[in-house]
This record gives sequence, C-alpha cells and structure tokens, in this order.
Amino acid sequence: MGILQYSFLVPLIVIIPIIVAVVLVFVKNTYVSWFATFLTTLVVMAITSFILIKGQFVTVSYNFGNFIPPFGIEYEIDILTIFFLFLISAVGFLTALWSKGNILSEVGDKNANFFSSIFLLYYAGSLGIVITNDLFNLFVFLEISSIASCILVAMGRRKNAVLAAFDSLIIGSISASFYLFGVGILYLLFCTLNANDLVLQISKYPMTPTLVLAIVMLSVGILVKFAIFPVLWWMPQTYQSSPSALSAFLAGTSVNIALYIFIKIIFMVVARGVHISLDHYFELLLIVAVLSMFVGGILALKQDNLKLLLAFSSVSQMGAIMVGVALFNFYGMSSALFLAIAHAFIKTGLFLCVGNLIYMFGTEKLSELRGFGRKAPFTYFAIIFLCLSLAALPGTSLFWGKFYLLMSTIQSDNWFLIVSVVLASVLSFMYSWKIISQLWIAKDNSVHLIVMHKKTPLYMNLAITIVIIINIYLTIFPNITYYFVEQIINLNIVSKG
Amino acid sequence: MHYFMNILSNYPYIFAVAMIIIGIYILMIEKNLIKKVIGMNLMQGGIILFFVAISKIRGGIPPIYDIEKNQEVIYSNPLPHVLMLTAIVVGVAVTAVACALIYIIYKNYGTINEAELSIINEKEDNDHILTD
Repeated sequence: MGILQYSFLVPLIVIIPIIVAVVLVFVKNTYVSWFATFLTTLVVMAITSFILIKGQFVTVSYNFGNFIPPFGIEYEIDILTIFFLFLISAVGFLTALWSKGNILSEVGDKNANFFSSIFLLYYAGSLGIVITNDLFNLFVFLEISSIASCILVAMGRRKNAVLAAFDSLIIGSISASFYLFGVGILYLLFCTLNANDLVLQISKYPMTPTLVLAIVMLSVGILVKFAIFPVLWWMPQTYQSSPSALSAFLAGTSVNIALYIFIKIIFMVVARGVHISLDHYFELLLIVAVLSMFVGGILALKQDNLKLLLAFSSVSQMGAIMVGVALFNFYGMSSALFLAIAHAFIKTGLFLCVGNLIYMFGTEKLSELRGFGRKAPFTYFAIIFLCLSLAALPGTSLFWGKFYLLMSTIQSDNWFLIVSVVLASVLSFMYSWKIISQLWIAKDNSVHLIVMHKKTPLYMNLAITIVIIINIYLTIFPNITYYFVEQIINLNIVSKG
Repeated sequence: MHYFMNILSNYPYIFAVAMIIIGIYILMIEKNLIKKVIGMNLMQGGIILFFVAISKIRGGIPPIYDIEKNQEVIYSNPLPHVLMLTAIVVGVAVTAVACALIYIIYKNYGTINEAELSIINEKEDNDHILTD
C-alpha cells in the first residue's frame, strides 16, 4: 500500500515541465517566465522528494493507456531511478533559481522567454530518460534533450556558441542513432522494448554474434554521450560557449544521465541476462576510462579559461566514475554512484560561481580574474570551498568517493589501476590548486585593473549557498548517502544478477 | 551457394547497413556542414530502413483484421512502422535545427566549410560575452 496509490504522480514529473514549456513560448515577460520555470522545477522536485521519502525501496510504475507492461509504455520508479531523478530535479531547481540574472546578461532580453521554455524542455527530456522503462521512449527523450540543449547552447552570446551548438547536435544525433540501431537489433531478436521483459528474454537466449553487435552499438551510443576518451572534445566546447546557467545544469546532469543509461542498459539488462562473461568488455572499458582520466586532467591543467578548465576536469572525473563502473564489483559500482552525486553538486556549484564572476566582471579568464576576492568575498570563498572539495582533500565529499574507489581497486588487485587512480587524484588536486592560487595571488596592480560592473542579486547567492550546504551534508554524513547507494547496488545488480 | 542466396534474399539489411556506413563516412570526411547534415540523414535513413525490414515476415499479410479470412494467417509486425514514424519526426526536427544553425553560422562567419571555420575561430576572442 502506501506509495502505490500515488502512482498517478509518476507521469506528472515529465508532463508538467512539457506543458509549462509550451505555454511559456507565448509569454513575453521575462520575470513571469523565469518565475514559472522556478515554480515548475520546485513542484517537480517536491514530487520526487515525496516519492523518495514515502517509499524508498518500493517500485512504483505507471502504465500509459492501461496496457499491461510488455506491450505499452511503462514509467517505472525504482531505487536507482529515484536516485538519479532526485539528482536531476535538484540540480534543475538550483539552476532555475539562479538563472534569472544570468539569462539577462548572457542570453539577452529578446530570447529570455524562449530560454526558460527550452530549459524546461531539456529538464523534461532529462527526467524522461531516467523515468521511462521503454527503450524506444528513451531514444525519443534522448533526442528531445539533445535538440533542446543544442538550441540553448546556440543562445549563448559568445562568438563560437553556434559552432559548439552544431557540433553538439551532430554528436547527440550520432549517439542517438547508434543507440537506436542497438535497440533495433534487440527488438529483432526479442520482440520487446520493455527493459524488465528484455532481461527475461535475454536470459533464455544463447549468446550469438548478433547480440554482441547489439551490445557494441548500444555501448558506442552511450559512451559518445558520456564524453569518454576518444570523443571528449565536444563536451568542453559546449560547456564553455553556453550560457552559465546551462553549463551548470549540463555539468550536473548530462554525464550523469549517460551514466544512468549505461548502468540501466549494460548492467541491468544485458549483463544480467547474457550467458558469457563480459570480462574483456570491461577490461577495454577500464583502459578507455583510465585514458580519459589522464587526458582530461592534463588538458585541464593547461587551460586559462575557467569554464574550459572545469569542463576538462569533468572529463577526468567521469573517467574516474567509469573506472568504478567498469570494475563491476560491489564497491566499484557503489563508489561510482557516490562519486557521481558528489561530483554533480560540486561541479554545478563551481559553474554557478563562474556564472557569478561573469555577471560581475564580464570575464571568465583566470589571468584577468586575479585577486578579485576583495571585491566579491562571497563568490571567492564559495569557489575556494568547492575547489578544495574538487581536489578531493581529505574530509570532503569527493574524498570519500575517491577513497571507496581506491578501496575497490585494491580489492581487484590490479596495481596499474591503483597507481592510475592515485595519480589522477594528484592531477585533480593540481588543477584545483591552480584555480585557488591564481585567484588568491594578486599582484598589486592587477587588483585595480579588474572592474566590477554590478553586484550579484540575493537569489544567485542563495542558490550557491544551497549547493554548498548540500556539499557540507555530503562531507559530514557520507554514510547516509553511501548506505542508500549500497542498497541500490544490492537490490538492482547483485541480487537479481 | 545456398548460403550466398540466403544473404541475397535478405538484401534490405545490406542496404540498411550500407546506408549507415556511408552516412558515418560522410560525417567523418566531409568538411561542408550541409553535407554533414546529409550524411546524418543518410545514417538515420539506414536505421529506419533496418527497422522497416525487421517488421516484414515472409508470407505475412498487412496487419488489418479480416473476419472472412482464416484465423491462421500470419500478419506482418506493425509496431516497427509506428516506432519509425516517431523516429522520422525526430529526424526532421534535428535536420531543421541543424539547417537553422548553419544559416546563422553562414551569417556570422561567411563560410560553412569546417576547415575555414576552425581557422577563423582560433583568431576570435571566445572568452568574453558579446554586448549589444
């Protein structure tokens, strides 16, 4: 009982943002459209929190048109889904709260209402990817979020925004096409699109080259979206040229969505069903993940543009998360999920802070921002706190994730991996220290060079304060979240696997 | 020979995979942005052809229920067609957005050649937002 009678809430999580997005196209008032976006994200976050609190370990599902699951589209919220739903809706809420001043300064009055509308469309697409249990429906949401994010990137007022938008559109389309091809092969073999039904069908089926082709196509599609080593170049460009509100939202959600799809398709559907061991597949993934850890970290060290630096650092951290996933044991998976949530909130906070800097000083270059701290102490200390967390300093939230990851690599008894995880942590400390030191050290003349255009409004600082509170919570009580993550792995992958 | 004929009789799959590979090749090789969009469409077309091909069942008739016919007739699978209607709509949306972006790129830079664009882009100042 309990939560099951509230299953009508499940489709509302996706439907409310879409309806508001359509209505907002016709609203010309910037303040009204921003406030509607803020309210919508608040309502969606309230619904997800309600489902999270009311029924943690109960699966809630909703069948569209009352078709029984293998035939119709089914939305299902289980414990893994609610974890990612809460992450996405919380990050969306914070960026929506923060975004008003940013829309005015980085998008402009003319496009402001379109920005809110398409922001909500992207929000709905991201939530839909997580909530749906139907593989083709997932493809549709993937394309919705890809188109919406590329339009939002193109709205940025930097010179290269349109080029970055075009690149991200092409990349998103390629990744979705590969994914769709993989789903097509799975449909050819098993005649079903429902994820739960697919697990049953795969486990009855012997391993054939066709199934291997399907796994390869699905993995390529998802890993392109994940910005893993050979295809990482589109992501920093997108993060850098888009308006900061979108950068923050993308940094918190887009890679985590890819992580969710990967866990859902590869672990919960394919790896649970197939009869051969996927060891070689995971070895290949480990190599790619380690490479992307180092490439991201080294490239981050070289950047002078703060947004590019943070984006390459995201590539590096995603590599670390992928190492945890590809280890394919209990500690590896749970450390990957913990790292994902800690990293999402740290990166969102940092991009919001960079957005504050752009709002105040009109620049994001480290060399021009030297010694700004005396003029904007709040943003300055927020950046220092979040950078120390990003550096995985002992006691911070990311440190616990890295610690669990290191434990799992030690457990797997692979010396190469242990050394690379430690070295990548050193790299992440180095680029975080670069940010802190560049902002700290001020030559006497450069303090006077930097001009503050305007002060940040209260709601922008409020959003950053909430992010910092969440980070402090994850720092002081990592065990609560970690216990939740362990439950996810227990219920979804170990017990059913 | 039998094996060869078996492959030949499944010719839609060969066409579908060929279209996907040609599409990816165009995406990777071509510098012209319009041609890239064409390559993307070819790739999507190949996947749509693949889905339509898997719905065909040998000896199957169109899936329209007919009370006069025998109950044991085989119907073709209608579901992939329905899925592909959605995929075509999505593909058209992606193409439309891509064409709009190419138009803006041409207005801003005066070229749609990727090599020239990257040369121009390196000289530009991308670190600051433009003011009106």
